[in-house]
Amino acid sequence: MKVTVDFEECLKDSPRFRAALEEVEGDVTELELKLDKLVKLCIAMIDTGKAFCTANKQFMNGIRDLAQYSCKDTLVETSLTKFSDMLQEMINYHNVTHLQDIRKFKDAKKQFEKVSEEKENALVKNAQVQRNKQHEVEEATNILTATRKCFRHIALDYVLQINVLQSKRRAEILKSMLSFMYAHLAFFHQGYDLFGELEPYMKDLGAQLDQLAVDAAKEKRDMEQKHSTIQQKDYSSDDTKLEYNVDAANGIVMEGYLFKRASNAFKTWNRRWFSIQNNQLVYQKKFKDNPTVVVEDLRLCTVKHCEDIERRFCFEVVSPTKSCMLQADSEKLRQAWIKAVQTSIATAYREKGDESEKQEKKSSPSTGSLESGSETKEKLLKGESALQRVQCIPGNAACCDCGLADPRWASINLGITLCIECSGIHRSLGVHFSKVRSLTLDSWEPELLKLMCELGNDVINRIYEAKLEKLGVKKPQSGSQRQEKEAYIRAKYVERKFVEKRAASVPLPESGTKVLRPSQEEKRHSGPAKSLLAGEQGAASQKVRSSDSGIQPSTDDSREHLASTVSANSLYEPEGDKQESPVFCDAKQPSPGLQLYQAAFEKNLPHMAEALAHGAEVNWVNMEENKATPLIQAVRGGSLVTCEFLLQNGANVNIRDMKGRGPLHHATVLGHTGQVCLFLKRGANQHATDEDGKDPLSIAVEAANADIVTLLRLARMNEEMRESEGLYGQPGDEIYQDIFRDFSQMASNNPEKLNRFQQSDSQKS
Amino acid sequence: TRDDEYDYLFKVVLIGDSGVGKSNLLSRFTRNEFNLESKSTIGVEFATRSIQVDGKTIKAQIWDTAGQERYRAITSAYYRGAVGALLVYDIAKHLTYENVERWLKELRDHADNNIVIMLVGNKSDLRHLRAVPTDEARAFAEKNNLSFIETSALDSTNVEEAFKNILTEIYRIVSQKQIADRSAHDESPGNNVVDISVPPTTDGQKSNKLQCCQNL
Repeated sequence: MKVTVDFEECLKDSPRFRAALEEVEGDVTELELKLDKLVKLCIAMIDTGKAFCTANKQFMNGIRDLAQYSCKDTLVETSLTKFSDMLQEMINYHNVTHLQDIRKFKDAKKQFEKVSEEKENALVKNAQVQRNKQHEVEEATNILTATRKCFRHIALDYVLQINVLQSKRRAEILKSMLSFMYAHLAFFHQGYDLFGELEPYMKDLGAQLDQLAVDAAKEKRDMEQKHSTIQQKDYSSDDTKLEYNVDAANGIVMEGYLFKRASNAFKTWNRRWFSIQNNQLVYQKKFKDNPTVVVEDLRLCTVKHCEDIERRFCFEVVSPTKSCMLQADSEKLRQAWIKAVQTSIATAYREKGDESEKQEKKSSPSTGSLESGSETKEKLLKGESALQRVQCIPGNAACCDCGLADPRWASINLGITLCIECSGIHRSLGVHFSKVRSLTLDSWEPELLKLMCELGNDVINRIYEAKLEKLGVKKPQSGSQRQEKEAYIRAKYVERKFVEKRAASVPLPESGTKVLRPSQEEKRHSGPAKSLLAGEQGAASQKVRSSDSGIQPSTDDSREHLASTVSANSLYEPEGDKQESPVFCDAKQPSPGLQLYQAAFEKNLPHMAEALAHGAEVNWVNMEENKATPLIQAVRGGSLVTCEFLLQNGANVNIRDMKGRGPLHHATVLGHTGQVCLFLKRGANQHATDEDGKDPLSIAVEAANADIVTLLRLARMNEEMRESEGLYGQPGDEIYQDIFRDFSQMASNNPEKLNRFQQSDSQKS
Repeated sequence: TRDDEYDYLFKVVLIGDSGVGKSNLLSRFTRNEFNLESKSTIGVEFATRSIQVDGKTIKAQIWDTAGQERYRAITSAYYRGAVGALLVYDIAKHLTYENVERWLKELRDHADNNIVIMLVGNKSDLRHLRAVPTDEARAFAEKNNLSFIETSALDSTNVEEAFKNILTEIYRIVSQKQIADRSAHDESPGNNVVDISVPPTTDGQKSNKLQCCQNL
């Protein structure tokens, strides 16, 4: 064992010992400094390591974001980070333990210095003591002895400490170093293992990469070739490339830039992207904008050259309501556009011709690719036509009544598609049974198109052909005689022979018994009315009830007499109890009117169609709920399509409830902007006041609903303009039409945007 | 009735921050009314008034829009078909003047490129509270090719002038365009294009031309 400072020398306290001691102390101080430095460096390294880890983690998150599917790489990275974390902690720990030894040494040194000083003092004192002063001599000697003893003790301890430190420090430093190296080893080893596992994958990837490079080079070559050919083509004609193509796969017959003269007083010329598609001429400013329709039905317009204008290359598209002045970039392009419009007009007329069918069929599968970049909301207006949208609803690919494929007509109040022959028969039934529109030739308002998409042939046939098999009736085929089809369609929709009959109390919904039906309904709900009111208002019930039956007849002329008499009788009939259940619980069948009423609120169009098939009166009045109608319930339910369905089936937009509030009032109160827009379009009277004397406008102003106020005031202003001028198509009228169309499209395609008011309002409160 | 007959119908919008006095400018011009305690406009309000310019009756359909745009779903509705805009600020509130830039941007985004814009510094009666110097606003208007006027709906100063100036300016532009179109039209007879945006003027285009040139 190597001893740095000799123990014997320590007892002698010789200068040699002191010198040795000094040397050791210097050595230790230096060591301490170095260790301090090391610790600082280590801390810096740890900090950097931590920063590295954080950066590493962020980098990995970045990678993860970039490619969520290649999770293997990121896993490896994560484990690497964990190792480095571990490593940093180990280094930290080692350095702390090492420092503790030095601290011990320092304490010992301090003690030694103190005692050594005391001994010096004692020695000096002892030397100074005079001979003659015996007791002083004794005292000094005692102190000296004691101090010397103490000194020796401490000095020995100190020396021990020095020696221990010296021998230990080699081991300790080495030990720390070793564990540090081991940590590194473990880290790199594990990293090596992980990368080893990854290696085959990397190699594989490398191979794929080579393949990709080859492919890319090939694609680039193709691209360059295409580029050069197109460039050549482009040079050959000095105009923008434009081709008119009837068989265009995406349904766009022609597209390109044209200058359009604004219809306002300035007649500003704006450059817009025009296209002829789905029998319409449309344009848009930006891609994300909804296209603006210039001509809704090309068949109704003409196109002609326009030489009487200061600009060159102008042509005009004239429709019954407006004309639109357009300018092409060159004479050639103008001719191309005029020809395209003319041919489109001709094509639209040849609805049954081979060419148009071919075009339609071709266009349907490819719309997907055309639409891939845009959002679904735009589908409604852009490439996808009403035909395509409606035909993909279950059952709609074949005529609802004869099964002929590819039906191009529709009944909008029933929500079905029809072949041209059956549509003719439907037309002959009258609009109160079926409203026929063309899926290709008519323009479709967004709410109507949505309505068509909520119903469909399958849904309607489940209702209108429910008993077909049971009755053994044969459905006509596409090849059947017209008379056969006609008889079938009449039985199906007018007589409703194949609709599953309800409980015995529900009469046949035939024309003969129709008069009786409302009275039955009245019976049903006047019974519960009594019990409900009796429960709620006690003695007041009699008065209210009588006022009910007093107003009843005015709401529905057809049931006037029977309703009042029967309901008056029924008040005292015991069957009031029996009838209570259908109204208040769904266990038994509710009356068709009530079913319609309830389904309108639940936004359940199939149930509503079913209720109508069972003979529900579309303007049925619920005596229990303030004489609300199904349309008012549809408003409460919040759906635009439900309202449209009821309106298409003859619902009166102006029937008001007991509080004097009609659908427009309710939609305004509830802030349903889309419905307000719809009702105004469908002729709702906005001047009607409720029992508080409020019209919809004052309600909207109170609620600070800017959009509804705007719609109501705009409609009001337009009404006044029309009255005073008596002409449609004046500039104000066009602005009005445009704004209402904007709102309709937004209500159908982006209803959330119209809810902004509601949201901000609820956030505020 | 006499009042309903007109040669031109121009849509003019009133825009600007909330509280600058747009509604009072409108009521002063159309009904000669002023209400110190008027409520803030919800959505939009309309009023019309006909004036005579150059022997023609011009009916102004004025859209008074709400200054707070946060409730609007469709902003473009307000600007559709507008041929003039009165961009109003409050001379006593500097912020309303600073926001003029924002309103100009909205016009650029939604209105016709050729829309005639007039910068209107309202509340000129509040002399002791003036925060926007007239010269500064005039210089800004010139830089941005806007007409400029200071008004007071309260004491009626310049209200008539503001509306009449902008309507005259619109009329000048529209009638010039019309002359250009008509003179081209004359060369090819037999063209029965229905001009939908501008109700057909009966006669006197030649004299119009002279008047317009004088206006220049």
